[in-house]
Amino acid sequence: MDARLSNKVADFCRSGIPFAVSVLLILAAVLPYGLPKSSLAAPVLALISVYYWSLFRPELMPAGAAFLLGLLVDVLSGGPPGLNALVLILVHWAASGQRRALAGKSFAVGWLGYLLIAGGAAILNWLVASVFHVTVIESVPLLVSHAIGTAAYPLVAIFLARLQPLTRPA
Amino acid sequence: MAKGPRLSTLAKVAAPARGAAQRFGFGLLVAAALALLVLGKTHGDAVRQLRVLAVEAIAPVLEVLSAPVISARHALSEIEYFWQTNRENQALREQVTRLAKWQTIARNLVQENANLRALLNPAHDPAPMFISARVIGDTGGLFVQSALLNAGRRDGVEAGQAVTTALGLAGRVVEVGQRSSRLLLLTDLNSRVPVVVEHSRHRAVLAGDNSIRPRLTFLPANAKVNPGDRVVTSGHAGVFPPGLPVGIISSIADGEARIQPLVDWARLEFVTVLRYRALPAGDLAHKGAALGSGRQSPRPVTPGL
Repeated sequence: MDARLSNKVADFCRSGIPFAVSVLLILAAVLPYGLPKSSLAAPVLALISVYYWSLFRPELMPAGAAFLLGLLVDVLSGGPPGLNALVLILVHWAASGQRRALAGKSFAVGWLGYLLIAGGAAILNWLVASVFHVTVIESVPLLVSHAIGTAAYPLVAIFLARLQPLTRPA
Repeated sequence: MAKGPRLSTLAKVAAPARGAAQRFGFGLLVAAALALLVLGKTHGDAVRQLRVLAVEAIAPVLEVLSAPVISARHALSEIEYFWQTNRENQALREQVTRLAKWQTIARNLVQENANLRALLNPAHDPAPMFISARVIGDTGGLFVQSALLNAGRRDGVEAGQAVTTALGLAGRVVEVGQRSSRLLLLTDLNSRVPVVVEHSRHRAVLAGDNSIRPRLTFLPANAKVNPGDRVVTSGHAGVFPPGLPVGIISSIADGEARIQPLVDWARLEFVTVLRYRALPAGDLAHKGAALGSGRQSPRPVTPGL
């Protein structure tokens, strides 16, 4: 009985890994490193993490988790509230919906999928932020952050892939 | 695996319900995010209050996590200093010679200023008081240029206060919690600072646009400004103390002047929040002290050069 209970607890903890890792990535991204543009890192890391887990372990990255991660990014950034929440839910929806096309294929396919879905996310981001601020927001920073995200995807994905075996129940 | 069948029974019961619930939940979350965006537009203050509360909860975690990052930065800069000691010594020696001349001039001016003030008996600028804070979050992102500070209402921080570094103005406080606050940087889209061009005394408003170089707006059409001119706060609107160094005009194109802020964004580590309000009158020396990176203490600083 005790063993079963501890198993359950362990499984519960394991299933929380994707969410917890995402939270840690976001918090780590906003620390004051004194590097230029390091503030772009939080939304990018959140995007990669939600995309990755939605693709490979969608049951451990439900839409609610994506929403909460987006809210965390919004709270930290002080930007339009709900913007990242909206973007990340839709990224989750797109990635988990395209599993058949993207998951279980070569790494390059996953990368290409990120390029497309994150590109859509950048456009949505720009549209919503422009409407929110009632101005045409400069799109260059978005393109830069999309490029950074696409370039960083392999590194982050390899790191997350290392963690993925930990999420399997014993 | 003893619990295999048990799980599958559960799955069988849950499966049909789950699809519908998921779709419903998804729609609900999208609606919630959209509602938040609309609320953020229509009830900005209430949403900001909620955000302040959330930041309050996160701030202690960020404070703990940022400690090793800051130690690492210190260690790195120590190493950097070690390598550059020779060159830096040389540069500092030259600077000391140069500054010694300025010191003489400044002493004379302080004395002269004091004498003239005694003659004129002008109204005094209120004395700013200082609150030192540490940057615990380099937040912001695509559309916002902000940072989180580890000082809040209990330290005397209030919304609107100017935030400076030893080099120059960094921005102002926009959100205040009990123990943390958010600093809106000069470069943010929503940042507006009343400034004056130091030599020509032309007034303008420094408007951020998320680029590294904010632009001078409302500059009179006939204003003569040149690249290299210093820009300081004007003190208009009474939010910022006058005379805080802000930046240097870096370019003028199509009648639009842009400013290179003096603050070193890469080394934004400790900042000074200025409590500048209608405080008891002090003398000019107070203001001089505000230009440095005074740690705290409202005590008057005598110009003992």
